[in-house]
Amino acid sequence: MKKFLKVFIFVLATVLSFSAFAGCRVDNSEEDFSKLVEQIELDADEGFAGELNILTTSEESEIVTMNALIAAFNAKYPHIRVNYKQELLDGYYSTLTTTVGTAINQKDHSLMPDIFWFAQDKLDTLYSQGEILFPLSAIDEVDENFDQNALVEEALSVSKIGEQLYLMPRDYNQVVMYFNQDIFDAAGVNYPTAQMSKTEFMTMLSALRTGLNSSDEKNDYGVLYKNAVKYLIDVNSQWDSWVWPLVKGFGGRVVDSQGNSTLDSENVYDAVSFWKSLRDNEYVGEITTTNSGVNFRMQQSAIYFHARAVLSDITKSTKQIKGVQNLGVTAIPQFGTEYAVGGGSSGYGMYKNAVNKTAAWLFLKFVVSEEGQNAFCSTGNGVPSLKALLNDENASWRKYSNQALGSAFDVDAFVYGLDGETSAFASTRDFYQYIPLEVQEDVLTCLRSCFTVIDTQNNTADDLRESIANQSELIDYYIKRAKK
Amino acid sequence: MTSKSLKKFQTHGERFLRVFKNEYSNWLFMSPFIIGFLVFVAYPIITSLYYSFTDYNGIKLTQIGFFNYQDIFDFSKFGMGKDVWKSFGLTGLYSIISIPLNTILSYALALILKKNIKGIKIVRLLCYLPVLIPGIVSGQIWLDMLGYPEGLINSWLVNLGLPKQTFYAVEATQLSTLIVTSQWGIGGGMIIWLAALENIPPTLYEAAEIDGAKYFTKLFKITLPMSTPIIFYNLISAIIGCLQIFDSYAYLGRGENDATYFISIRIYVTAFEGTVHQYGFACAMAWVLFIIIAILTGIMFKSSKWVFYGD
Repeated sequence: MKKFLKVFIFVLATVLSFSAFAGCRVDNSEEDFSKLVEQIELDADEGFAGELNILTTSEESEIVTMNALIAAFNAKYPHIRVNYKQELLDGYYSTLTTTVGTAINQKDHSLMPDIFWFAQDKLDTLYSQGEILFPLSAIDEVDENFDQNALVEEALSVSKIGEQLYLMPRDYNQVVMYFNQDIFDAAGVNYPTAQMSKTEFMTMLSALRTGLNSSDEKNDYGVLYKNAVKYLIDVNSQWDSWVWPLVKGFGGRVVDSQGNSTLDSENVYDAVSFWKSLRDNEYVGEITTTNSGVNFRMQQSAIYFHARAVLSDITKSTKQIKGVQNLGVTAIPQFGTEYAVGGGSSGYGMYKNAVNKTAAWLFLKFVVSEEGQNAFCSTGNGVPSLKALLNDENASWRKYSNQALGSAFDVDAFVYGLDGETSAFASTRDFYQYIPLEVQEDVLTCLRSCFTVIDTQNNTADDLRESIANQSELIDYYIKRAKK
Repeated sequence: MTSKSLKKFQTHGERFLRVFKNEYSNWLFMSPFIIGFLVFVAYPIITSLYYSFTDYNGIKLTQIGFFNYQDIFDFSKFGMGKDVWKSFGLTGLYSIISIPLNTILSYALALILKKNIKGIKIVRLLCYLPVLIPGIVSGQIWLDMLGYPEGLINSWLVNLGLPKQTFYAVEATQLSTLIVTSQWGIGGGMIIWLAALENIPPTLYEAAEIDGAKYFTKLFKITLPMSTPIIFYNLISAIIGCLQIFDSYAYLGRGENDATYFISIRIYVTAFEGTVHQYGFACAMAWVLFIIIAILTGIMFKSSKWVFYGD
């Protein structure tokens, strides 16, 4: 019994000793990035020999893009051997962070790829984990052969934390409205345009539904459109590049510059009720469904809101999925009081402790070089992040030819509203900058929850308002907690 | 160091060497277990205790303190407490219903299958066979069979003129369906009961029969008291097992509106899902779960006077 008491008291004392550290913060002082940069041979040229490990998701468009980039990269740097691996998108980021932890704990950094794909919406989360992302601006400062100012401002802005670049923006993405011309033709309805008002848009949807119901036209699978098209619009309603611009377009805001929630407003309510009206009419599917694009590709939806990155996925025809063979595209109409369009960038980050830093830097530079951007745009899935190419009327991304593109494929839709200070470009960075890093995803979830509530209860206008007020209060709670 | 303490140190060292020299073969044979225990049990236990006081995310930690435990008991409007304790509550509810049900059913089955009649061994084997199917697999089978509205069971119900049941499809019936389907493994308990029942000396029954005892008298006065050690063992194992229920995550996830979001699942999701891995908070929840299990087990042992260990 005495021994047990001794052990018990020892354990208790050990546990209680933690109270001495209550609230302690481990030193997080500014790092000296110069030591990291020193590990990179800045004068490496085409003769550089080495190895490079790359990881992306296993989505077909990502694989096609990366293969095109690797082929062009190896043409320029023939002595760099590239090992390319893919992971399923579902669980991709979780695998990435777990692998970083293992690499650090085992002090074996070869476990991590030197270069990995990620989208701008995960930048803050990956950064807040620490020890994952290499600060690229630090190299930019000393490498005379690279200038980040040559990149599109909108793409750069979402690739930075403060002034430090962590994501090399491969592309500039903004959300557009893809549509299946055949379905519109079957319904006898004019194609949509960016100039439509919200009322005209709703009228068009109504006409589309009526037209399809009286049509005897069939899709390529032999199914009557009136039976095949359950929802007219296919969109990932949970996508931050969709939710936030929608709210912003109605004049809603998430937080003010002091980090106080401003979500509880009539503007946000207007955005939510607009979406509810689409749900009530069964123009869009469930808000909680994130597997968007399939209905459109299967010719079961007339409209699809997404970015250029999925173009080849939409038009690709296989034995199982015939794709959309008469594809139109236009910019998103203005639904609310101001024009806002979701946009951002995806690209590649370098692992902070990458084993092959020089090869990794050469690759990142290549991705945003004219050669790299042209190689990327040749796949059809990209709008370049390089200013010179974006503004070039004869650039390859504009000339992309594909027999599946219909007569109403307006390539300018991908840069519509992108004009400097009056840019309609909207990204979560708009409000992330006022929110502590560790709760940014939580705040985004609150914003999404204002919409998901449409599906989860029999809600009235008061229910929607109450839900928005609750989420607003929750945002304040998260931010205050993080600041504390 | 004084000469006295040096001498004592030498004495200890010499004694250790002497013991090691004489018994090294014993240590050698035990070393696989000892090393395994230290590496795979002791080290993770100590590390998880340490992490529970930090915000460790698998890559770095920036804070040390009691904040994870404070969060577990934070019952303010948006505090984590309500969610965490909802999971504890669900786990408790599942255990409170599932443990007695499983114990009674498996015991009843054992009593039935104890009889020495022709072919009984085959029946026993058939009853035990489901235990050999991994929980995740049997769960998936049940999920398919109980599908709504088109599952096999529902088609039978319709054929019998009965209304379709929602089973796993809606929040209201998910937990109760899980409790019922988890009884699929009563064969495991049954086999232990059978062993216990076989060990009861037949002379006790013979003496009772001579005294004119009927079936239920023998059951309540001999069979049950004599099998209390096994009842006790089964109860302890069931409490520990049920409070750590996790298999359902593979086929039900967190359930509709978190209807089957048990505490072990919450610990797993907190630690390993999403981009941010909150190992610290997950470890704190795991320690709270451990303490609850330890207290319940302690209470069981303290109140085990009803267990009859013979003479």
